[in-house]
Amino acid sequence: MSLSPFRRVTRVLALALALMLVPVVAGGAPAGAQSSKADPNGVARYGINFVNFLFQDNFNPALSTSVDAEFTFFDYIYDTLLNQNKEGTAVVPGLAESYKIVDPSTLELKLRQGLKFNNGDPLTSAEVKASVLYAQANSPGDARRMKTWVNLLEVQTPDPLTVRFVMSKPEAFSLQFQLTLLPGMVVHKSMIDGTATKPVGAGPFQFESYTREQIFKMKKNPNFYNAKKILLGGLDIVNVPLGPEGVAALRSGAIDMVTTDAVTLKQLTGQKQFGTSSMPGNTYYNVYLRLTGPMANVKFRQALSTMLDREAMDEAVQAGFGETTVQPYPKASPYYNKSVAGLYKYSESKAKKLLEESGVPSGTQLSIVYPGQAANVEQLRQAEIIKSQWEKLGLKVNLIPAPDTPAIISQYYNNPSSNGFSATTVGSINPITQVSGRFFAGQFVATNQSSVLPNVEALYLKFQENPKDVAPVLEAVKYMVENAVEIPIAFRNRNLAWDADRLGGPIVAPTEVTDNIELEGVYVKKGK
Amino acid sequence: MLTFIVRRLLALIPLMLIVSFLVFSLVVFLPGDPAESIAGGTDAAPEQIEKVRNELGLDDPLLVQYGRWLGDAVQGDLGTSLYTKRSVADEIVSRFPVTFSVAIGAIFISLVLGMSVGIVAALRQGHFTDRAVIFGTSLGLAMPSFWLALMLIIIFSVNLQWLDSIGYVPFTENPVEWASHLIMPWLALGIGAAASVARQVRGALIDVLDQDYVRTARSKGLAGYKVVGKHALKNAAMPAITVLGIQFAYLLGGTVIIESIFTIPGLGTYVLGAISGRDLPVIQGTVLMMAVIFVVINLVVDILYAVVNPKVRLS
Repeated sequence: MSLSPFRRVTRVLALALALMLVPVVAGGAPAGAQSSKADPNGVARYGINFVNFLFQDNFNPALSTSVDAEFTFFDYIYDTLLNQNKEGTAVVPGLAESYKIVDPSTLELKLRQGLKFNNGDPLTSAEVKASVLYAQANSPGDARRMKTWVNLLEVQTPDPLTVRFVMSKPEAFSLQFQLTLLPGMVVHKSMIDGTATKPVGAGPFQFESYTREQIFKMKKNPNFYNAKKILLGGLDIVNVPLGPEGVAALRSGAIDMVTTDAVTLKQLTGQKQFGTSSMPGNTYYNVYLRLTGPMANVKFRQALSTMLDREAMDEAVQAGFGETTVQPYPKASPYYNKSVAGLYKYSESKAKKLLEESGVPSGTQLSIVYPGQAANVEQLRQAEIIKSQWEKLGLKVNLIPAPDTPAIISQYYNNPSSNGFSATTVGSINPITQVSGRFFAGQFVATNQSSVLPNVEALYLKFQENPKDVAPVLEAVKYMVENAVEIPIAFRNRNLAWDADRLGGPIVAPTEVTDNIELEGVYVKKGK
Repeated sequence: MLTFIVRRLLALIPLMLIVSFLVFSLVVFLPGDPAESIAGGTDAAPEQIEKVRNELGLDDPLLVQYGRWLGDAVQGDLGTSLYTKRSVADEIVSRFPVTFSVAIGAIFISLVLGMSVGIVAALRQGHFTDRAVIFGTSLGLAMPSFWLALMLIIIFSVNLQWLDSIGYVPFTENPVEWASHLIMPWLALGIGAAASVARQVRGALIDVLDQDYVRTARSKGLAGYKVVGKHALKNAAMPAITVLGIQFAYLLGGTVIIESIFTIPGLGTYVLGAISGRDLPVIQGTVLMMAVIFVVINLVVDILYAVVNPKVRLS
């Protein structure tokens, strides 16, 4: 078959057009298009509050006493052996391209080919081993340092790309998650022998300077394995106060990105000069219950859970950005149990019926502790709504503010007359950690509140033996929700606002706990 | 005069002992167990908590702990930060100039603004200017410094984009940048203090201007500025000195919030971070330092008072 020259040209043009459209249809502008808009020397400025980052100024993850608090800074310099996906629900490759659980006590990693530190030295399994043994040697010296390596028996390095962690306990499953955090960072040998004058890592950026409590300056690391996707010339982390002052710094142009509360984010959403993103994390607003006294009665607990209008609470507390829940896992999690998601829909009449069935008399007094720091408006709002809702059932609710951790421990954990604690449950990508601290034997909460749930613990132990089968976790979730052993309300979103006039690319709010933003593809626009 | 100063210094000893004991007792008065909190809160194992308690010496009787702490403190050793492991005394020494520069600028604004406004109001007593000053100073006293700080940020940083809302540049590095970063903190702290000074000066000057010796000076044909500046203001300055001394001490305390709003790395930011992390040696050391400054400033005010008014040292 022969084509006329005109038809041949038309077909060629059509094919060319189709090829140009493919990347657009497949997911936005092509990387080339982004890099052509990017200023290769552009430095993005990320505002976070340094007050909670109790620095030691050595920037050595193995010596950190604030553990996760320094993650935001360190992750850009060191990266981690494994990473979390943007939703914070799954482990994805990092410096290691793959991992496998060899047996319940052994985790094996395969490093990427050709990894280098920012000074050009190679990063192989030997460097990982030296770094981990260094962190292990330093951890017993201080109760606040990382505990990940306490049960490490041996680090095997059969070849330059393979690392095998052998633990003395069945911790391989948990270790994969830990390696996405501080314990997954590898430091250069000069940081181990103390000869380094500044931090040396294999992350996307390299350390430039630090002005105490002011600014942490980094420039792009050309030796990063994924350097071609880093379009920023540098990154400054700038100390800004949380709340309105931080947003004012964004508005004034002093910074380009800042995490913010939900109400402010809502105000900024739709304004052309700002980009906004809100991502659910694993941390959730929750009412912990002490399963004694009236709370030992399952019908009573179900009545309390049914009496909470979660949607309205989320609107009041998180401007409607949060994901309401009755279980400890968000919808994006593989451990989310759909079958119980519809339980405890808000109904005053149903709640009153359940209360009647429980036999707990109207007028019963409940003492609910909440974190009463002046700045913690969200917790205060949540506690007040809970009080007003439960008082509609005829209960008397006494709210007890506890200003800080020791007060919370004293008022709630160690005070048997408290019935509950309205707060946030700090989430974890590790599905076991997400519940173990409250319901497993030997853990503080369980020990102090008679809240040990043997059924739950047994199911999680079964899951740990074969993590590929999530059925035991789903069953445990069902048990926890049906028995209303706690009253989850909504997952807490992390919110980010940025200067859309200056920054481009796929910017997404950071995951919970770590506060670090993935910067692949993010760029400073030319001329800005 | 020397006897007066020695007497005042001796009186400080029991006062400082009481203050230091109260500061130290923070450990006891604060709810909960700091060792438990430092060891990791609810996740901490009992042996970890015990280890931290032992490290901190929290298992000793309170008076033993106090004696040990005081003994070190008088030798300039305020302990080390639980988190950063840096010397608290060194940190205070390095941060004090920053906080001092915030407070001294604010006191300068309050002095210049407060004195001039107070004098103008007193000289125009009952007129529109006086009423406007009364209204303005009421407003100045009512406005909390943190709110004023936010307003200044919105006006000068967000809308006009003239000044940086965050950061600090040391004077030795760039004096212009230093001043441009501190002008909003100075105003936020200084305006409230200026209102207070203005009211004191206005009231005192009105009283003095009514005195016979002022009338005599006027009848002698002295120029108005000489009557006010040389005769009236000297006597009217007494209450203002007292207010300024107290204001300076309060301004040092006020820097805690202001430093945090403008992210200035002074004592305020330091103590706020320490409170957040339950870093007890830092909290104790910084609060003790603030208390000492407060007491010393009061002493200086008393001495100044005695210099200006001989009746004080005679009594």
